[in-house]
Amino acid sequence: MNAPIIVTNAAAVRGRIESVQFGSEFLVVEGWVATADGAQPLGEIVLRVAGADHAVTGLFARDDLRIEGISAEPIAFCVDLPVERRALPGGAVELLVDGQTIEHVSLSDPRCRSFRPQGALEVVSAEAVSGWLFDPGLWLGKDPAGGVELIVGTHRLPVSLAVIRKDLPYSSGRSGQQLGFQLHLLDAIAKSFGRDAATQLRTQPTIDVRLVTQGFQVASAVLSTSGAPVPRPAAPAPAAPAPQPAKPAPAPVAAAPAPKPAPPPPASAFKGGETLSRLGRPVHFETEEVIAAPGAGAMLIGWLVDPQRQVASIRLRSPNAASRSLLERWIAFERPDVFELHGRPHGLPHNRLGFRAFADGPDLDLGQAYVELTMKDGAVAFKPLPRPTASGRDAIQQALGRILVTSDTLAETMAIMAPTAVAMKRAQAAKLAAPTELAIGPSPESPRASIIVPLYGRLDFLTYQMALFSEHDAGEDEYLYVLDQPERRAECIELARSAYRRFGIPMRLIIMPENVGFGGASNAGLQAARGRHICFLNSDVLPGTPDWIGQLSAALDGDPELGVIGARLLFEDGTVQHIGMALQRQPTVGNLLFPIHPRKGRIPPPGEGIRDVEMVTGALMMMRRDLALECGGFDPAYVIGDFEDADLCMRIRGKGLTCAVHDDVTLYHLERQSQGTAATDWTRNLTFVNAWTFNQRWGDAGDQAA
Amino acid sequence: MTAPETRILILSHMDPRLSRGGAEFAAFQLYQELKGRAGLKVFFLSAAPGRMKLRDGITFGQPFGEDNFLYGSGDGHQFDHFNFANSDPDYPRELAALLEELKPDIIHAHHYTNFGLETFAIIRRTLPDARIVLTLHEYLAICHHFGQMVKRPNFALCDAASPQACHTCFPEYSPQDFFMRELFVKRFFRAVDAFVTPSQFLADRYAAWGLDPASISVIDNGVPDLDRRGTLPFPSTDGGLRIGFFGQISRLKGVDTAFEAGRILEADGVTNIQVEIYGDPSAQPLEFQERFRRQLETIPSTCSYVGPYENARVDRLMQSVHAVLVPSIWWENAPVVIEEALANRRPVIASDIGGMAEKVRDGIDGFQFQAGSGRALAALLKRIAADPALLTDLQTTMRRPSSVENTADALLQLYATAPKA
Repeated sequence: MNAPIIVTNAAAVRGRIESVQFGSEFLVVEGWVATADGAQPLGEIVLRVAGADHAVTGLFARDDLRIEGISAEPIAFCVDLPVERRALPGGAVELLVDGQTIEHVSLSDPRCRSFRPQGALEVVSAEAVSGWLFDPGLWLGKDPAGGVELIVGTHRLPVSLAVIRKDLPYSSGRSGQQLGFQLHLLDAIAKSFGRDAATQLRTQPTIDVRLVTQGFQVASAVLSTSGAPVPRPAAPAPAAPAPQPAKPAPAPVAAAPAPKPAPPPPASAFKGGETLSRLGRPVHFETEEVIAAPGAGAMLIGWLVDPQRQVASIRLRSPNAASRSLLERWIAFERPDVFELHGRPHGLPHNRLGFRAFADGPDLDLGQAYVELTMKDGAVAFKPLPRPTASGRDAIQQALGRILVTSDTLAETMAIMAPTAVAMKRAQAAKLAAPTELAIGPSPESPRASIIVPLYGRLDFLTYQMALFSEHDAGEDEYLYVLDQPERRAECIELARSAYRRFGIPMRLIIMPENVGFGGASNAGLQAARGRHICFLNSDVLPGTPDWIGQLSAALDGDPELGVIGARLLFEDGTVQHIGMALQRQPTVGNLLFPIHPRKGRIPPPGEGIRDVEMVTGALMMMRRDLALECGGFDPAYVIGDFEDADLCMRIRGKGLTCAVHDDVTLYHLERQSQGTAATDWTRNLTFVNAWTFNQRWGDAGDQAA
Repeated sequence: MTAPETRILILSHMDPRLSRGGAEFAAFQLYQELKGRAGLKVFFLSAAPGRMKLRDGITFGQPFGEDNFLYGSGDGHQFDHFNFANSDPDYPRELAALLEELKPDIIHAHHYTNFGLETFAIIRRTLPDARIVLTLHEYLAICHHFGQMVKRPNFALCDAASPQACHTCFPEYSPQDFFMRELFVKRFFRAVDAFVTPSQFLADRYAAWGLDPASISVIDNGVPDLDRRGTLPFPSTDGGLRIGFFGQISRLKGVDTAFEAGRILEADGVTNIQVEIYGDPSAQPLEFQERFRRQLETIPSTCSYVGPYENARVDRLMQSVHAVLVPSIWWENAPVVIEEALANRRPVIASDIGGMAEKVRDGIDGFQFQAGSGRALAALLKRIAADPALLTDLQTTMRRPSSVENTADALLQLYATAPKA
């Protein structure tokens, strides 16, 4: 088949040479090249150096390019080219596609620097040591001196690179150059130095292991002969995993900075001041805001300028803990101000220099944390961390506000937002003071059912509800109102007392110490409830069927396999608000499962008595109190409303119980009147966070639920 | 052994000794009539917000003597006119105490404003065996626009309430607010055993709204001192016709229609009709009073504004005219002015809608004309002026209004037989 004639519009192809590294008789050139729409160019890609053209192959995808919106396709390269040193001075490196020059870098450009071998020790144990090393001098240099060696304690073991590593971000590695190695440590020692040497090694509690070549120490580790792997001093301790093989990501984690083995953890090297500027590199990093996510880590907002891609990882550290690299959970966004100051002078092609990132570090002490930036060549710098701002609901609002989430960015945005919001929510729930309770009249001691109603915003719903409940109440049930707006305590107490005086029905008022949302407030009601059955009820639900409590209660008593029962909820015009809920994937929202209300807005269909449904809305859910307590009520991971009712139903079904709607019981649900304000960016993002949390837990099960 | 007396408590949202509305007069008339009957013990409980201040610590005072109680409406709390809810913290307890003291068998409320709808629930809780009767004087339970079922702001006639329609008239309240209001009102109406309306029209409106038609009785508001009225002969029509308007000068009472008709008659060169307007605009909004004043500057020769009148003189004034004009542009219920006109043996010329059309049978009690149309009214008046016999003939066909005694008899019958809710 004839190859199609490709007409390349060179103007539509763009690219960049990010660095040029000089080896002894070679160059390593890093960069990327893409069409205007982010695809790999079909034409011939060439690097021209000292008059010679070298084809660029072995392109790979890079996470940072995807995050910056350049491309998710394999468009990056890191090629090693043989070159005569004498031919270099005064010259340039040119990047061409189909003969058209895309970029031209003079060798005096700051992007050009000396090459240092790169590598990593990935597994270090008595049985196996494996890793990789990249040094084109080994195959391009004239006379590589010494090759690669592993220094174990005082023994030097030769290492042969015999493993193909296509996962590493080197074009030659992708084309089949062997960059990896693997050896059985004790066997190799025994073979080279005798059995006694191997046995003796075993008697030492720890042994230093170093990977070296050409006089460079490329990586080091500490082997613990007791069998438990000891985290390397250069790596974060204790929670971080063994160093990852470099996937398409910024270059691999580099060696420990100090030449001496087993230095103390870098934590002690931080003396309170910033050291980044002292490295003399074109790397600028600022943290503008820290939002604490207690027990999970922190969310950071700031900006990073790193034109030569020197940064390998950015972590938070505190005396006994470190986070994973922020680069793993990082969203970039536009910062024209930073671009003007730092980006433009470096010729950066875009201004997405701002970041929101999540530092995954459950054990971090944010009061003492600082930022550690590690470069690809091993250099380390520190920056102090600003104090965390805000907490509780305000912090959640801040974390979620000002971000526009679209369907395709939902997953990675939620990967940062959700753990932050959930951690903040859990922390709030954990340190919540006890709510206070007020008895308004004498409630029954052993009620049949406890009706639990959170109040927020429209407190006057209490009045309407109690007026209507009073019509048929016969003293069998108790009514618990949970005020989720403690600043309106006095107003609420007055309303409750007035309702009792006028309508004659007692109630119990529970006042939350702070605003916690529907789930938390309902749970507080649950803890205080005394009824055999409990009914979570929204404040804007008003009774239609006179004996609604009795009928729902009887349904629960009549079927021990029935876990939770709901009712028909209608709008004021008589159309359906809820006759059951079901999970459905929403393509416009990251294809996540969302609970939907079938037939919402339609004239209600004929009833079928007590009817099984997939799940029931939290606006009205009645269940046995002991079941509710067993489930722990609503999960506090859900942030201020939405999805927690679906989550509770899934857990109830997980126990082998069913959900049902009683078609003969009708109430009116005026829906979200109690919220008051219209949905804003941050409330919409809250829904996404909860959707993400729900789908992490039930994403697979949900498909089978239908 | 004598039968135990029947104890009746009458509730009136205003006191006729302090204000001059029709409902409080009707309630007080009933009280006075029943008080005089054997076998009955009658109490009168009224409210007077802002009219009379009682001392601190007094919820129910007795400034008007034995068996009369005045609810001072609490101090510093507002009555909620949207939901008819009374949040006075002392009221429920004090009312219950008063009820237990008076032990009425029948509680007949002529309103729930100022007392609050929850009054019915309080009565129910305190005296489970008592019967609660409620007279409906207008459509307040259905319509938030002064209970008149006309649209806002253009006063177009409204046939039915709905959350969406009411929200259109009152954008400051959401449809959900109106829905909740309806639920709230109906909940307390369900505690009432029997409803009374003075017109079938009103009864039909409430039945359409959702009250059980079997629970509604149509009983006219009787006219007091029936024998004293209508003693003067029908005046001669030789010098032309005199048509009298008696009542509040307000837009809804249709004074604009009267002026418009007068202008048309003047333009047509009709000189033997005079429309005399008796009444008082001072209770109206200032811009309406201003507008009325300007209208008077160009008042047609066929109309004259006489000014306010004393209630005591109404009989004499009505008997001096040939017909009474009731040109209201809203439905009306059972206008007292119609009953008074008929009591004075004067035919009524009324709009053809609502309670007016019911109480004034066309060609029998008077004549009807198209509501709001000055042209239609002018044509009718012209026709009558050309043939005054049309009016004088009605002397033999006009109905006699009920007397207060008739009303009281009908109510006593209702008290005895109404089933419990």
